[in-house]
Amino acid sequence: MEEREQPVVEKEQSVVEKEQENKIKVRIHAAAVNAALPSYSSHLCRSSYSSRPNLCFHILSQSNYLYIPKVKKAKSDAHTKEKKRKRNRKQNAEVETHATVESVEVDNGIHASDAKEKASINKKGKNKDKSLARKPKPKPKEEVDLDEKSDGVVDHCHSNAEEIQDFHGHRDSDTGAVIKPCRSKKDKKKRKKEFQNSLEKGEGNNKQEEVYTISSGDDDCSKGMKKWIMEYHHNRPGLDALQHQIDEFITAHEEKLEESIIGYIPKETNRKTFGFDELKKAFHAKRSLAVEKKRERKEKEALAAEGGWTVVVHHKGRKKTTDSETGIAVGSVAQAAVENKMTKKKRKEVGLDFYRFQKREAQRNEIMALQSKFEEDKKRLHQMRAARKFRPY
Amino acid sequence: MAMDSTELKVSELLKEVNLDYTPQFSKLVDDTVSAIKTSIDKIPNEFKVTADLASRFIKDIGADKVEFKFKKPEFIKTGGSYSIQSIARPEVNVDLIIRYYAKRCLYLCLMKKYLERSSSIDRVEWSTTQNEARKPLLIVYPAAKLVEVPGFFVRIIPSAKAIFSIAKLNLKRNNIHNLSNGIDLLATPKYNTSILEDMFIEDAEFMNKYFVGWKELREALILLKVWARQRSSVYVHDCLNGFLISVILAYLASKQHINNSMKATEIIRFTLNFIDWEWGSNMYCHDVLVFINASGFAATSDSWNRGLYFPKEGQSSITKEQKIQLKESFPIVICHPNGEFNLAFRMSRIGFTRLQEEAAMTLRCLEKCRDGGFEEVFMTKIDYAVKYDYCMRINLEGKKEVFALGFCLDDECWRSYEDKIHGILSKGLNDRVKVIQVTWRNTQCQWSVDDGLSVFDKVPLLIGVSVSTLEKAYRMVDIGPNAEILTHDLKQALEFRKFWGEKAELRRFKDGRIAESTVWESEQWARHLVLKRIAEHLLSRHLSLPKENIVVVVDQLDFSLLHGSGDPISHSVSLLGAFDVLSKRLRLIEDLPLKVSSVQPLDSAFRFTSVFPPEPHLLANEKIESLRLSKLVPSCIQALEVMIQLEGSGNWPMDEIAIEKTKSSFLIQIGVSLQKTWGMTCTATEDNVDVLVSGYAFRLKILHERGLNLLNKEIGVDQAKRVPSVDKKLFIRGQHANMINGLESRYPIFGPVARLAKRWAASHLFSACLVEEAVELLVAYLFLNPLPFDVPCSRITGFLRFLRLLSHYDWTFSPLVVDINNELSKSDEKEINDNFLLRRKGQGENGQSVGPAMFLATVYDKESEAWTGLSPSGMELKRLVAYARSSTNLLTKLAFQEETGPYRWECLFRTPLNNYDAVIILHKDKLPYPQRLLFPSDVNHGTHVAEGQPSKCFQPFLLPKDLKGRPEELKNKLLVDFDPSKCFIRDLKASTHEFSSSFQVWHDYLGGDIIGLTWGESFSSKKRKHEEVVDEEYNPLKVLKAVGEIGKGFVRSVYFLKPPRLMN
Repeated sequence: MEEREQPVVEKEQSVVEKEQENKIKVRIHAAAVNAALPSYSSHLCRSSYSSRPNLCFHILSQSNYLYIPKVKKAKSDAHTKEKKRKRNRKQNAEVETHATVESVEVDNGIHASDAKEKASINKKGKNKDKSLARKPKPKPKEEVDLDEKSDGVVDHCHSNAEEIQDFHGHRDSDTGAVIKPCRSKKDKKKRKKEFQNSLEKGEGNNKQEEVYTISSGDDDCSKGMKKWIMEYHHNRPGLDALQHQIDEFITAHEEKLEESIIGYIPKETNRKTFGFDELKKAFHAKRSLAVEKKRERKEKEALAAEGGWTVVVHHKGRKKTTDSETGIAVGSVAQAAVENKMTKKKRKEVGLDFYRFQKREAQRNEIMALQSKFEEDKKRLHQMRAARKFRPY
Repeated sequence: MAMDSTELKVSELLKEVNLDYTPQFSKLVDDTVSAIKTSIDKIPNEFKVTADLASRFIKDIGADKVEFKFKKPEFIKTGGSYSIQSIARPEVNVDLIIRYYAKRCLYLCLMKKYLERSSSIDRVEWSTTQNEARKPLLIVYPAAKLVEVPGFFVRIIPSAKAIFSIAKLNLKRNNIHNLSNGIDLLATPKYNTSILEDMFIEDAEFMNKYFVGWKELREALILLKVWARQRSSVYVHDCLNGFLISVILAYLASKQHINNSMKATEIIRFTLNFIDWEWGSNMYCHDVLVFINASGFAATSDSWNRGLYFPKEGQSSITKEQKIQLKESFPIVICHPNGEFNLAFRMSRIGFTRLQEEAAMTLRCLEKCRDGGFEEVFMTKIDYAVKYDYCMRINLEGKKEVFALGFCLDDECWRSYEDKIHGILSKGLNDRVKVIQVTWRNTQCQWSVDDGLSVFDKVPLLIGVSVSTLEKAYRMVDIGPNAEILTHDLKQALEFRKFWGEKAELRRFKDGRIAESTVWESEQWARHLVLKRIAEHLLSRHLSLPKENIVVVVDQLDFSLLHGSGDPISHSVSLLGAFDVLSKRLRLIEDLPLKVSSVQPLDSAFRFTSVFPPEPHLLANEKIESLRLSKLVPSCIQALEVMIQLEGSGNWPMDEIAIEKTKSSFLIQIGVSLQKTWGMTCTATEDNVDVLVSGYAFRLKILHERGLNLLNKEIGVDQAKRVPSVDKKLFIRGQHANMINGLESRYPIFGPVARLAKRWAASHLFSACLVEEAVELLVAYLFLNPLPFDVPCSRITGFLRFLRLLSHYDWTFSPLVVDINNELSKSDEKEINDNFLLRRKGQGENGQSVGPAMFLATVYDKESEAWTGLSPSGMELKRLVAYARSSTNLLTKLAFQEETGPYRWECLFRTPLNNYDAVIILHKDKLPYPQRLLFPSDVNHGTHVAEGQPSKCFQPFLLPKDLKGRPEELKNKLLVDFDPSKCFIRDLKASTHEFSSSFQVWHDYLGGDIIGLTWGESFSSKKRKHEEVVDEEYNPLKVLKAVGEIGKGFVRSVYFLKPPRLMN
């Protein structure tokens, strides 16, 4: 079922992209485009991903099961209540998705499905709900749900808050399983308390102590994974389109440049052009000249060869540095050659001490340099002594 | 002046190690000694001593008559380095020589009993003389403690003046009776000399007289002790000890080779030269020698061969026969002036060779290293793990064969066992190795004579192996004697077979020869294991040891580089092939205004230093072959950068933006052409063009020479930080790639070491502050400036040295100059130094923590701007150094000790998470290359701030159903160079300004599942400015939630560990 859907999704996407191309002429940065057309891109993502197959969904749910953090274990009773409530709700709201998920499982058979996994899927669904509840701008159709859920959420965060207070007060070591604070240092404790106070002053109570849930972001392409994937595809519109963009950019750039220049310099007739087409022509002219020359030379050679002459050709180009079979570098860095080169390199320039004043100057410079080095050394020594750098054990 | 700075340092060092012989200290010594005397006085004379005091020791040593009547020692005096005031810290002890009258051990037992009753003595322990178990001695810790000399103790060394007749102890005689099996008795020179040692130890006046009143000689002695102690290859029982150093110095003084006008450092230099004299490669110290002592030296040239004899004094003289006898019995002879006693009787031939080598190396350091080699000679600890390429550890606990013939023959059983192992290994490893050191420091554990001698097998035996050349060490076939055609061959062949066992096989070789041989088949990437396999085979065969008792330190860190069971480096050949194809095709492109003139690889995968070189990808081939579903197909592919240059032309635009656009335009044209002509797949963005060739993705970049000189406008007012142009960056990267490539082909082990080093830096989340290229340069430095070691020849040794370089280098005061092809002239070096000083000066005003703290200079970058221009900052470097130090310690420890838990070696790459202020954990199955993840992370402390759902729109592997469809569609599913971590970090950095507090991001570019955050400095300063306003915003939890939101679908959870520091 999903396989049939997939190409359709892609088509949708590409159509949208084309539309975009038509609408926006100059696109410099993808980000700019996104910023300019938030509604547009969000529409795009919704349309393409809401109908996306649920296969990934299934695998994720599996991993999600593994990742349920420890915090949850400790508050199990609050949790189970919540669970029950949610399961009821879920059964109403998401019967459809549930069904699809199961069908996918059967289809693939790679990830064997059993009761456990179903449970994880349940959890997954629930988490999703929760995340939706915490969205800053919930979509209208989910608003009804939100009210219903809210008490569950409050319940949840209440219990959580209690625990964390425990931890801050260092009363109960049982919570160690939940959070292992660094209790070793007293000042740290103090600092934490201060911090806690400041938090309470600033933000009211306990609000920030719940474990905040971040949605998967698959229906929001302003942030996160979805955005990155979108950007990736968006940045690759195809070679032709890119070439077009660049040409346009260069034209625009040229115009801008022209405008800024106009104030200062009178318009020149033989002004250099930046457009790629122009450039191409210029390059081509040169190129054809070179080709012409080459052809001429070849003809000459052929003529000479006919007369019984052997033409000795000077080979241009790179020397072979790697063995084509093994990929091992050959020749280019022969040890002996390098060493030979080294010995040659260390030549000293002669003639700098020809005049007496040069000698004197050099001497003075040397003494100055030595003096400064000595000072530097002394300073360094001092610091090294301080750092116990002279203790060999 | 350079010399002066060394002198200054040496005097500082002396201050550290020299002991102040203050009245308090002398009093402590005197008190302790008199306490010992009074306790001994309490022992009743004629007390009957029986074997019961140490029955097991007596039994093990095989003694028979063991009863005697106690007689008080008439001779008690302090000796050793205290008497000549040349104790070198940290081993502060005083030798107390006490003359015993009978049965050394029992004598001591009785003394111990009485000493322990004394109130002024804290405790008494057993120890041994120079690791010789049959010669125990007592260590007395006084009850009174002095703060200046922690751990001070007195060694009670028994001596025996006249209980044995010297004639009986002649080197040719046998004094051990119980092992004679009817055959003629072998001489026992070592045993005899060991007893002679007891008799002559009182008499040290012949050497002490030189040290008293000669300050420079004493200093030289102390410095040489420091030098030797730093070298575990030299400071062992079969080589040098403090006493022997003073003997050698006294000898040189007695021969007037060294005189009063010499400074301590000159004495040291001369002594090392003297030791090194016969060593082959000593041309480099010639001029120095001639300078110091032209006349006296010729005489010493072969003194080691003849033996060292103190000049005649009074009536004592040593006859020629005696000399010959000594020479025959011992490899090294330093004769006591009073008779036929070889002071160096424990020194072995191999030990002396090691000593000479070390002396030669030290001389090289003195000559070649910065600041006269001070750091290398005196301050660098040269232990097994860092010196030798392969370290082996053999656990021989409970192995009876070791002492099957008795504990004490002429040599002790443990020493004979060392020799045996050395023999086996040097025969088996042959020319693969340069040096093998076998040391069993078996008496170091705490013991008591009551335990007997069988307890001395607790400490593992250590073997260090230096590789001769990698080529030889990696050789897979060893050719032995010819097949058994002649009787002569037969004997050899039989011996060969006996030695190698089932590994020996007959083979016909290319030249037609049929010969016995051993074959160590191995894959290219696993060649470093050949030596290990040989050693394991031989040791387990000849010592009948189980494999698990033999640990060879060589591949323990390979797990961090492998994918599954293979090393991805083995794909490099096909990668280079693909690159060749690409570069050929690029050159052949005709329909381009300018031809491609050169193609150069930039990515580290091309030079074998990439931690994870890409594996060929199924979907990146020109033709997609059958997609077998057996293997997981990754959905991402790394893009490897390749730099191309075009023919020169004058028609390029002039400003950088236009240049870049023109380049893109060119690249797109190239892409189009490649697609058209060869059917290659190209995918492009405005900045990059990626080409897929034979399973790999290449990212093309154009270097435009004229762009080199363009520099972006200066950013910032006071800090003139220049941002180099795109072309400049490319150019530098090209230069770097070239150089490292050259170095890699000179030192094949460079690649693996660099890979380990990069992996280490990345897994400790240093990717943001230490770039890949900087790590390569640091590792290159190890190979170019190996002193005081040889060039590393194994990955673990190289890696350990990298960690030590990072942790020990004097980053604050010295630039690190990496001169790959020895191209830097004196003036270049000066320029670099000036640049360095300039930068430090600038930083001095702003405070140390601002600005880059690591100065890495090379030929192409004398300002250290290419890789270390922005980071690591002082704070980051501090962290790096701390991490490197603890990793060094762990790695060194692991080489010597059994790892106790299952995760010990792994710990080197597991970063502690409590060192960050907040930790972000990512969904590990959303990482682009999940197989690189070493350990899934878990945080069990701090506050759990947020948890995130995984996104559904990205999977690291293509699902089976994605793999159906037409090839073009499939190729579109391949994400080139897509990395959510990179995107996340980029977005984080881009949105830092939105948060009320700034933070620093620590991440692993190879793909770890954690990101660490530390609160930045600016937070506090901001806070100070508008206190009230920020108070409201002062909410790191809010920030962390926002951070989590940025990584939607990727972030698994966010933990809050520490609040931002409140600045005063």
